[in-house]
Parts: sequence; structure tokens; C-alpha cells
Amino acid sequence: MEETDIALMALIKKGDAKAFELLLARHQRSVYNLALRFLNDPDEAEDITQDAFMRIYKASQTYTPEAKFTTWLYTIVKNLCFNVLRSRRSAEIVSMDIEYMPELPAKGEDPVERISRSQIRETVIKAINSLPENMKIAVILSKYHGLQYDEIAAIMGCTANAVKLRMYRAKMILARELEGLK
Amino acid sequence: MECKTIQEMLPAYHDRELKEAVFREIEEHLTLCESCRKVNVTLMETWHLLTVWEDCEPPQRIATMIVSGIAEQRKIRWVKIVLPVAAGLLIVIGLTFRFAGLQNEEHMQMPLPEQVHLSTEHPDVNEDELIADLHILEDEEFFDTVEELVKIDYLPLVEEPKQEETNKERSSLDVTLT
Repeated sequence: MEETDIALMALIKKGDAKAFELLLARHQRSVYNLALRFLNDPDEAEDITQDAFMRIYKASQTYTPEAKFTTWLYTIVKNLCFNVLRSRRSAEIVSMDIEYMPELPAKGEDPVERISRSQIRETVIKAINSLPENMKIAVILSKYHGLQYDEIAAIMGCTANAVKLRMYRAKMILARELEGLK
Repeated sequence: MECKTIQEMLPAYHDRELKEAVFREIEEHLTLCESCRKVNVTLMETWHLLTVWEDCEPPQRIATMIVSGIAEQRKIRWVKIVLPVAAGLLIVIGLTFRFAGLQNEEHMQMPLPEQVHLSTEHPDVNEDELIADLHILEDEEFFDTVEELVKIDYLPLVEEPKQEETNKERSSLDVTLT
């Protein structure tokens, strides 16, 4: 039977290295992709993934399961991402480069279709990046991580109604930005 | 509900984040209102378009680095536990030995009754011989020793008495010696 995340955390607390590796294998991809989508920088996404899991390991000694494990995990990642954004702002570095995003070709895709898909992808990424940070994280968590509004609210430290409103505004902005693609 | 309110709720409607009653109401409204239906379709298509931004596979080195970092952390954690314990033990052992040493020194300094007995009544010691040896030393080396001691400033230099007084002293000394 597969151990739950909370059970794995209890094993990590007892010093079980295998439990940590299992937890890492289970969540590494989602942590990395959340940071990557939010920050648009693979190096920073890598650093944040490492930092997040190191923090989880250190916190395993005092961890008490008050909410879903993923809510806690994504809160850590969100905070780390916002820290990076703050330091970026202070360094006045603004980068909207989307060249780094390696595109995965779909099976049986012809070249013309691929170019078109690549253009759509670039436009979508630009549109998401144009969202204000609070809307952007809500959209990413909802769309790509399948989180419910109350979970997003817990991660963002706001109410579910606030998330509902942000999602509405974000979707309206995206609809306007992506109008030409439909 | 007004169209504006309905449209604001559409994202939550798609995400199934509404109460059943509200959900049914919106569903009913959409069958009747053309403009809200258009907005609904636009939002659904937009949301679907976002799927084009697929997940990336994280580099393998991330997991390797995290695992090695954790191993390092574990070592540090052990050192943090073991080091103070080891230091404490060393201090305790050191203090124990020091205390035991002091007690031994005290025992060494205290004269044992048997030793006192030996020193007073040892059959090999002949006091007359010892005194005779001392006499030899006084006769042969006493003045040489005094000179040496003066040379190395061990004895203070005393102003020599006048010649006449010295002669008198010598004569009196000769008298006493004879």
C-alpha cells in the first residue's frame, strides 16, 4: 500500500532516508514546474526546488499535519518564488524571455502544426506572464496543479472568495490576450 | 441574478466551485441568455488553450543534489549531537583524573609512620661517619665554595674591614683554632 505524504513525513522524522527519497520523487516535478512557470527561469526553478526540499527535510522534526501536505509544500514554494521576485525587483531585472522553455513535440505532429503550436504556446506563456503575480499564481495552481479554490486561498493567505474574484479577472484578461488564437 | 453577476461566477462555475443551487441557476441562465453563453464559451476556450503550456521534466541533477545535501545535513545533525556529548565526557574524565592525581599528591606528602621509623632507626646510617665527611668538606672546600658563591653574586659583597682589624681577627681566629 502506498504511504501518504503525512506518513512519509513521520518516517522522515524518524530518520528514514528512503521515505524522503520517495517524497522527493513524488513531488519534485510539480514543485519544479510551479517555480518554472511562475519565475520563467529554469536555474531559479532548480534552486527553489532544492531549497524547498531542504526546508521540508529540516522542518520534518517539527512538522505537524494541520492541512494537506501539498498545501504546505506549495506555500513553501510560493513564498520562495515571491522572495525571488522581490530580490529581482530590487535588482531591477526584468526578463520576459520565453526562449528557455523547451517544447515537447506532440506525437505524430507535422512540422506546420508544430510551428503553429509553438506560436500558440509562446502567446499563452506571454499572456500568463502578463498577469499580476497574485492572479498568475492562482491560475497556475488551479490550471496546472488542479487545486481547489480553498487550497489556493490557504496557500495565498486569502479567502476562497478572493480567489474566485482573482480567477474571474485573470480569465477575463487571458480571454482578451488570447482572443486571436481562438 | 444579473448577467454581470453570472459572468463573474463563470470561472467558479467551470471549476465546480459553486454550491449546487447556484450552479443550477447559472446553468439555467446560460440556456436562456445568449451574451452570457458567449462569454462562457470564450472563457472555456481560453482555459483550454492554456494546456499547450506543458510540464517540463526537471533535470536529474536536482534530485541528486538534494539527496547529497540531505546526507550532509544528517552528518551535521549527528556532529551537533555527538560533539557536545564527547566534549562533556572528556571534561568529566579530565576532572576525574585531575582530582585523583591531587589526592595521590596529598598522600605522597604525608609522612608515613613506617618511613619515619626507618629514617630514625635505620641500621645502615652512621652519624659519626656523616659528620666526619662534613668536616672534610669544610676543611678542603669551604673557602673555595665561598669564593665561587661571591663570584656568582650569591653572597653579597661586604666591605672589607681595615687591615689592622683583619689581622686582629685572624690572630684571634688562629688562637681559637689552636
